[in-house]
Amino acid sequence: MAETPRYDTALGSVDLPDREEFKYVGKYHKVGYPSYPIVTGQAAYPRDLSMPGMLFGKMLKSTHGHCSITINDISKAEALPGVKAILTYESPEVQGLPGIGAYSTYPGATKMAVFSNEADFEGDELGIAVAAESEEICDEALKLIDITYTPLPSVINTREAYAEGAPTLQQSYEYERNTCEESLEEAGDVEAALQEAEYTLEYPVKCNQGYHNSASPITSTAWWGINEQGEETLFISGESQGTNSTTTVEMRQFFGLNYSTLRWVNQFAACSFGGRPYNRRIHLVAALLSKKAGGAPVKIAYSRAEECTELNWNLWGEGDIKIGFTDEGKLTAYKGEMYTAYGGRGSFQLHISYKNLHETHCENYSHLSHCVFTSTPRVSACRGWIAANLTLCTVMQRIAAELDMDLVEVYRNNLKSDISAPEVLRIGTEAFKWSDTVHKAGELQLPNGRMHGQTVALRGQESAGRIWSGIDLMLKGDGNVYLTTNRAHFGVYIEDAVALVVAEELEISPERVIPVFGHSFTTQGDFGTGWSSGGSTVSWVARRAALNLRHNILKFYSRTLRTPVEYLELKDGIVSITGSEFSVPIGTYASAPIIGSYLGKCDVRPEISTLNAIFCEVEVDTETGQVFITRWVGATDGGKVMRPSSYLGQVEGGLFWNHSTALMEEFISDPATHMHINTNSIEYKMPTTLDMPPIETPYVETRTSSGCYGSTGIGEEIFDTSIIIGAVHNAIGKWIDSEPITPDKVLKALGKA
Amino acid sequence: MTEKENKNSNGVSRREFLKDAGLLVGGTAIGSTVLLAACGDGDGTTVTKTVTEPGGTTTITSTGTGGIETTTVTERKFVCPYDNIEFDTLDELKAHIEAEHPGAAIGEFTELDINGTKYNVQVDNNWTLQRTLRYKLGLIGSSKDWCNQGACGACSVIMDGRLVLSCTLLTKDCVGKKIETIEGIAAAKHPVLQAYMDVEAIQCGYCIPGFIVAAKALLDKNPNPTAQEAAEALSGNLCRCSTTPRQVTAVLKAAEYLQGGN
Repeated sequence: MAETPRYDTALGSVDLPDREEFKYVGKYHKVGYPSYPIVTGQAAYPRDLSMPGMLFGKMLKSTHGHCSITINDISKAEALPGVKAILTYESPEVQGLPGIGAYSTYPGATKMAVFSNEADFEGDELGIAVAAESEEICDEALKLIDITYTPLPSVINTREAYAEGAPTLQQSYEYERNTCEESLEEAGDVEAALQEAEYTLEYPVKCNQGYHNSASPITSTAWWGINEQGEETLFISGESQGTNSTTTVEMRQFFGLNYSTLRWVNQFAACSFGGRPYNRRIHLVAALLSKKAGGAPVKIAYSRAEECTELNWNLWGEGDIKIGFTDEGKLTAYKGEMYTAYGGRGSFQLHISYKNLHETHCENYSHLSHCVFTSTPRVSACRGWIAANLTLCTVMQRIAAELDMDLVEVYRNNLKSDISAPEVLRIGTEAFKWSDTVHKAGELQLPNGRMHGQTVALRGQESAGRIWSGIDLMLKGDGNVYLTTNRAHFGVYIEDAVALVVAEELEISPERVIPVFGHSFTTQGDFGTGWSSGGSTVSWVARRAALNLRHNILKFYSRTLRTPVEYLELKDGIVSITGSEFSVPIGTYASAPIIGSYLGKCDVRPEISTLNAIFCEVEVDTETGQVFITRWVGATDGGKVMRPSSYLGQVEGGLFWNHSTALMEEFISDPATHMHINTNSIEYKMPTTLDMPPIETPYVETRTSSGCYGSTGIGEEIFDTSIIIGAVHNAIGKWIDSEPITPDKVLKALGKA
Repeated sequence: MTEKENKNSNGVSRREFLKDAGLLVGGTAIGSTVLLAACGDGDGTTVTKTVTEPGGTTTITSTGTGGIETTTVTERKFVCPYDNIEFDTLDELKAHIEAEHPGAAIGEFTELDINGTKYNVQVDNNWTLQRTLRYKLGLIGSSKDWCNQGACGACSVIMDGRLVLSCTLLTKDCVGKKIETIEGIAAAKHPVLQAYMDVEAIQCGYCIPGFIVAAKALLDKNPNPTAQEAAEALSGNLCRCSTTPRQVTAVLKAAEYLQGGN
């Protein structure tokens, strides 16, 4: 057999032959490696950490919608027994620290000071932090600090924040009309195309906003110690997606640390999806307090209310859309203007985009997006860009409704994709039995008296090649291949998916590929994030690491057995010599581990689209106004499914968030005071086991994306706030453009309230 | 000094634990709040855990496959809150307080029956059961801190056969009750754990112990529930990652295992 070539670490430059036959990938299932400690209650999350000599930390939180403070006296707090460290925006230790960057490449992205005397919203951290022997002492110390508050004007509505004459919401930036980003995407001549269109239509769009609302309120414990090389090292137990994530890179810059001297030690993290791990002020403050307290562990654990105001997911946006189309439902012109709430400094730079409309043949478009500071919590992505790409779905729904056309036909008439789109629509419509119940809006009443509605939303994937990944594999003498993962488990079971790729390429049982949580000393690379953006890259890198290990295994046995590599065969975990009866299990004679690793990322191939088609069925009770989601079908093109349970989990996640967003979750601020009202788990609703309907997830595998075996991440492109709006319109013939769709809004739309 | 030692020498992989492993989580004298949970597979991992609590510290060494098969309590100190003098036993601390600090206000000494083991803990009257489980006994599994107001189910325990929320119960009101936590369910090798792992009704896992306790409470009363009954029984638990759709499947699978199915 020919020697397996060695693959050098590279940026998407190594093409490997595609694989047609799979023994394990997409087929094999074993209990995931993090499951056992989770089900036995042994899994320790950052919230669960307790250490000898541990101190507790707290930050002062704003009680105004927007304010600044002046410190008059902290001596009483300093004198309080049990107080170990106090830092303020005036402390020498924090002077000259760089600001925390927004998760954005936009040049105008704002920096958030770690310690600031200005709060951007109610609940925002102000620049005073205390470390003490208990949380109660921290609270008492914060009360003893003599502070003068200066309330400043606040605005929570995006259009009001953008209006001429609106008050300045960021004292230190003074952006015109509070606009931190403005983008225009345009092509062709949209005005002429609208003039010439057979049909035109104008309508508003509005996206709801919610709390990130992680199961565990965000928690971070930081302490300074010594690593195995004797270097001063910062250890952190906190929510982070990876060792090379934005948070980590920034923290290294802050403290002059490197891969070896900044260690994330928690093996589990709660709900650390989306942008939550990028909100890193809590980690920095814990580390600074620990430094001042002589390196003792300092734990900052937010309350539920603090967790709610710490981060909002995605967009609170609104805008106006005008479209032109033919009598066949083909989109010929699009003009949109959007206003997106940015929240406070340090937010993701997200906005409602035109992106998914690039999937259509429309050549005349203009999409103007204003990203506006508001007096609301920082904004982040959360399990996908929920509202960011709603434009395609709303446009297709409106055209279908206006022309009384089958929505599936409208999609087929508009989409450019000639592989993925037809496939997800074909498989999805068959699974959903779309044509059995398709009907014009408001025309199908069910035997139970409710009105029936159905819809489909298509979203394009954008999930391959965004991140780097480093994979370390180690074959030991016991015949097992150990897969080092250096980031916390937060739900995707990506390590188990990667293990299948390694098993496939090494031709060994997946039972012999064992993920191990630990520090990478070979690539020093981040194992990679989850399925949504990173899954495809991680598996792409893992395949090359496995082939490098295979190469090294054959080299080792060539030397050990004094046999040329071309006479060696590695199959089913056995190394044998061609033409001989000699064979040994891999690992035999390996007195030292055999290593295979790879660091890189796969190419981004924007010219290729993989899409998801999400089908939804609702029943609407026109007497009570209640909306019941009765069925979901998620025909999602993962390119190639690696691990079925992980794939299913991502689809379920997307559909859950669609459901939750459309019918339940709502961030509410008091319009007069701009205080957040429902920062608790009683008044902030989420679906339970009684709410979620059956979910079907037929496989779609077009193998067309750029990840391993043609795979792509799927987690980010299943959400769409407009799905349920379309389904409810199909049921009752009315557009409800304000989510959540609560009974009062349905009754109002029906003229009954 | 060793106050209590509890060992099991079965060295089996964690995947086999439901069949024959000696899992002594809930049966040990004291659980722990751990720095790092070991979950390596195949390695004989040794983990040292330390509970820091008002009034004492506990050091626990766990050795065995997966790090939790053998748990040995190696040290437990009882510390006087007034002069920080350490004592080896609770009785010695009580005697010291009566002698040296007569009339001093001190947290109640409460006997709790948790997973079949009696614990003497010293807590103030306003301590919830959740806080006691977490900070006095180090039982982090069933004391997950989500909402702190009885809305999420993450801190569910079974008390005298009823599913209750430990964040809404005062510890002093739990005296004389039989309390069962996820650690006890794990120690008993209940099939519901295997069902959850097989169905993988798990994502980040933070809320899962609460779901499993609720499932176990249902199965104790109704070993063969319908899907609707399972959905109703688990509807007091929240999951942010969206394992919700698979929860009912896991409960039905557990019922199947209970009846001898594979």
